[in-house]
Amino acid sequence: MGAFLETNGIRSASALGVQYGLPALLTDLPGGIGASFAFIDTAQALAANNPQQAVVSGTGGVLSIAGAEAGAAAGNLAPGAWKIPAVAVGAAAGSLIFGSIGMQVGNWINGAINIFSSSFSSIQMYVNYPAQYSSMPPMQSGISIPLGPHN
Amino acid sequence: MENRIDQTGKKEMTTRPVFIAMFISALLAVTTGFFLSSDAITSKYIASFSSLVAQIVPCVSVMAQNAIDPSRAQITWALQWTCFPIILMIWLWFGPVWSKEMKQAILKETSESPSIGKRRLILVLTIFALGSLILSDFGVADLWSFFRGTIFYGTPAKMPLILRVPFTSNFGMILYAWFVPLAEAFCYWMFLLLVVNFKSYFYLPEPVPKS
Repeated sequence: MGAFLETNGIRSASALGVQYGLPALLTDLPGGIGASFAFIDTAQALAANNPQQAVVSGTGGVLSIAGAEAGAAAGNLAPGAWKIPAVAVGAAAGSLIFGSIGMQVGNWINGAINIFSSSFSSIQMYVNYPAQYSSMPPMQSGISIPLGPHN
Repeated sequence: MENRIDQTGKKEMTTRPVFIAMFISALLAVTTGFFLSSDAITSKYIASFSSLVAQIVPCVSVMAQNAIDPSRAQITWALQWTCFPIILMIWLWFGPVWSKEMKQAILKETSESPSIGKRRLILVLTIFALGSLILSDFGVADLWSFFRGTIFYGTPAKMPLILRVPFTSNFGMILYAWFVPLAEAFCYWMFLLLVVNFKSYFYLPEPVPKS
């Protein structure tokens, strides 16, 4: 996590804090919080046998980590002394915005899973009970011509 | 409010007032969130102030609706959103995006940057992201917005934990009430910084004036 990791490899957050000071810590903190939240939340949802919430929590959490990274990269564009507040606020703001996008994406994934599972269960029904389906009467067109009193 | 003057007589941009403003708004958030008495919460003056702010800033009512203590949350969020224009002014006053010093600092960093291509890509993506946030604030787009509270849409029970925090505890409410207006001010400042200094970020030399 964090823009500094890209060039410096994976190190612990404390080592980064010592080596690069406050900016690195501020960059990595929101991402670390996002990662912890994602892990705890997804695990809780799975333990509560709520896979749909687990998808939303997992997607939201993972994207919030990406958001912290994106926000820190954006804040890094600020020059000089403005880099520190910009990176800190940018990483946290990016984490929230991307978390929200992740929630939307998670809902889409759940919707797609629902459509797939309902289609799959229909196909499964047809495969398991073909006789039942073949013995059903043909579908009516549904169009009826009203007959008036002149007939 | 004055910028510090360095030895050469030039104005020096300082971030200290921004941190002081952040600290004061945090103190306000803690005071209203934890220590505001029930008499003060039910006071008609405070209630009318928070309702007025809630009418102007949709985020206040969105966040107060699902909070543990809606009245306290409304007052806390309203007070923090009142700080938003002040914090934005401080960002702009002490970090003037249009100043020559800012432009020079950007030019220096851009020219020294080892990955200018990546920097330009981040710049364009950030302008798009912050631009869409500002358009959503004004109701032109329907994307993410701190001002309208649309990043916290839906019921809290179905949100990921990072968005559920302000609804599950008083501390979370205070933390987010402090941070969200601050983030909004930062987004506006950052957007202005990038748009005003777009040419400097792309390291395009200024046209030489004809003599």
